Amino acid sequence: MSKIRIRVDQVKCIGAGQCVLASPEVFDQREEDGIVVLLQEQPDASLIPSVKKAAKLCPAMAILVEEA
Amino acid sequence: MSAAPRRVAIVGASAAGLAVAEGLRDEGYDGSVTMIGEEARAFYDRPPLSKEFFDEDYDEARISLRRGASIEGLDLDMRLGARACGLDLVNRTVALPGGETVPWDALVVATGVAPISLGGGGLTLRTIEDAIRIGSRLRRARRVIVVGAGVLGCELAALAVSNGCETVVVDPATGPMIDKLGRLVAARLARLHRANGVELMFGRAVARIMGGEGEPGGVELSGGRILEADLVLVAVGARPACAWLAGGGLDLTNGVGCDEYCEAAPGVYAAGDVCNWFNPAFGRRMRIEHRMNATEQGMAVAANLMGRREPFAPIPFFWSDQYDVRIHVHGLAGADAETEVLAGDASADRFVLGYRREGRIEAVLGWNMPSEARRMRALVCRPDA
Repeated sequence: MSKIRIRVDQVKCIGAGQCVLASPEVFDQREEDGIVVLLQEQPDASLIPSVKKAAKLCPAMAILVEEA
Repeated sequence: MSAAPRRVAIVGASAAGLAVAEGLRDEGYDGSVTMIGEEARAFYDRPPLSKEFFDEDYDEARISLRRGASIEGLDLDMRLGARACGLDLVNRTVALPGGETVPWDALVVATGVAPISLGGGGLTLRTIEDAIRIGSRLRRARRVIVVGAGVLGCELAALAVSNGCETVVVDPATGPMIDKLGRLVAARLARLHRANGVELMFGRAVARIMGGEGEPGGVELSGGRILEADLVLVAVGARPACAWLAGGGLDLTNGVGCDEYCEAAPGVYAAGDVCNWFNPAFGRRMRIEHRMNATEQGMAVAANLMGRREPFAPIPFFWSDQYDVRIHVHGLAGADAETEVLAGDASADRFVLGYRREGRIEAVLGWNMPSEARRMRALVCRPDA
């Protein structure tokens, strides 16, 4: 997997912020309710391991990583 | 372990077991993985079960932990509907009903917990079948009693009262989630539930759940008072599902006793709710019944199975949804810790609370303040914070 496309589900998201902790270059949270904000949809290959970790850790399964 | 195993058996086909299997394949493990699950259905998410209604026609995809194709890619030897019933550490096998044994070079125990039942007509919640049973009864119920005001009891009460049921919560403690979150948050939660119409009865122990054969439903309090209800939900905690390991040589004092690598015996690991391990970040043993720990610990066990040998030292996380309030907890809160307001105003709609033990912040709790709580997580377990 050298290129990925990320999708986030803001309805499922519960604002845990684990994605921001795992991959701050790619994910942020809305200040008021903590809902996920995607900073980059197709990040650089070097960020893929941290993005995959974020997707796995997400307790609401709100992050989908696909091959681009 | 000196060499990577060739045959891994994972007992428990839920979040922790799945994380182990995925972690192994991600690390390039190409040996066999046998996945043994007691339930007919594997790999579904449990937190929604206490937060939403389920019926026979529920959307399976809504709670699936993974899409079908991604599960198939793991090349698992699935044994579902099979409740493991014995461990042989000498011959390195797990026994299944009917006399079959599953051999392994490495074993992962990820059997979770089982809710404590108080008998009578009370319903407990753990599986999707339980959630469907509760959902169908809730829709018809007029009056519901929830026994236990922990996370699960509080969420079930919120679900019941939102459904228009007259809802009563009974607990011998002095406030909702008080053991876990302390007095200040318990007082806020009590106000919240009362404002939403839930009747709270604290300091009252339940002697017996009624609703046996030919008996009306309800509970009998210690002292003899009877509270009738169409439906009694019992949420008084859970016990590690490790009775099947009895006599196998493992420490089963409170879950499967493990070291900081989540290893219970050479080549035998545990992950998720059932695992009692030494967490170096806190310097003590713990057993965590949180959704995220199941995944995080499963990933750590997979890495250690592959020879990584890294201590598992997480800051636990959980959340709870009740009405319009969302609580996020990073670390280990509890009634035994000193609390301090770190942000916002504890009498207002948004705040972050710190929990301090022996001079060190061991948890931060966000009350409708998730981003700030996540930033303040950096303070948890820091010697100088």
